Amino acid sequence: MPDDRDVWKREATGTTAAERPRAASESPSREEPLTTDTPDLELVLPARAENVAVVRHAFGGLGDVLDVGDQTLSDIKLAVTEACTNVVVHAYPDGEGPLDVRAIVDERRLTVVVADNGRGILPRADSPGLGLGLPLIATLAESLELGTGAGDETEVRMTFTLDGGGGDLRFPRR
Amino acid sequence: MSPSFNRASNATTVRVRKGPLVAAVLGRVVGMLAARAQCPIDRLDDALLLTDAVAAHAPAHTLDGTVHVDVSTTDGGLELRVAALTPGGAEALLRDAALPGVGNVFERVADEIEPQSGSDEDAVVLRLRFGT
Repeated sequence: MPDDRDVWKREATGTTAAERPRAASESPSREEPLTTDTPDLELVLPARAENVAVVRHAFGGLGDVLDVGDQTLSDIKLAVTEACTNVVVHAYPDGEGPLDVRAIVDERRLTVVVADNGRGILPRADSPGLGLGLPLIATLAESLELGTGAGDETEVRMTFTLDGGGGDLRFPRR
Repeated sequence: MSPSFNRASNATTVRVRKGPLVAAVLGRVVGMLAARAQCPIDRLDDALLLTDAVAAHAPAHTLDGTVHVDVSTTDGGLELRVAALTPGGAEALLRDAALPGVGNVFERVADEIEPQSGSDEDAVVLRLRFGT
């Protein structure tokens, strides 16, 4: 079933400028719907620091099943960790909300979407971060897109090319 | 955000569509949440037995091929709610978990089993207490 949450504004694929640049100029745009897929994996957790490790660990499980090289898996886990950390640090300054992580695996590619219901991507003069998170994700991932879904969720979508067996679930490594 | 979010709880929702991913991901998530809830090591093994049984049998009884598990912990226990099962799927899931010579994994390991039947879907709640 089509999911209009995945109607995205394509943003700076592969490039970013600042730590979670929730810039006001990045107003939602719906002109370029992307292909939608039902996620193969979805985790919804409270956006707390301790739950970032849970997500990272879950992606370790993903790497156990997919035939992914160690370096690629490390890159995936680091990028996902950074995106989740951004949600924990920036998305809910006045409280707590959900951290939604979705993964879609196809033959050669892993797409990961990290979403929140927070305040959106805005600049923060008082940001506690170093401003390296999104540039790091952009470096590690094949592509990085920032967007807003139909439900006003803030979404970070990253894709990775799977090496080795290419994530073919019919031929798990073990 | 599709699954409901309960702000007051530490509940985690895991939804896995592709069969081989279920055991690997669910086991890790449950193991980590249980460990954080001070689950003793023997009960951690029990929790993973439950997740393995869910991963093995739940995909055959889901409404849309997606295994949907809500995981929540308290100071004294762990609860898994396996949801979005077909009508009659709760009983079928419990029945499938019976092993010859061993008995039913859910009944032997979980402290409480609560099949829930609705008009559109079934669910099974499995509770594990950590207390001595």
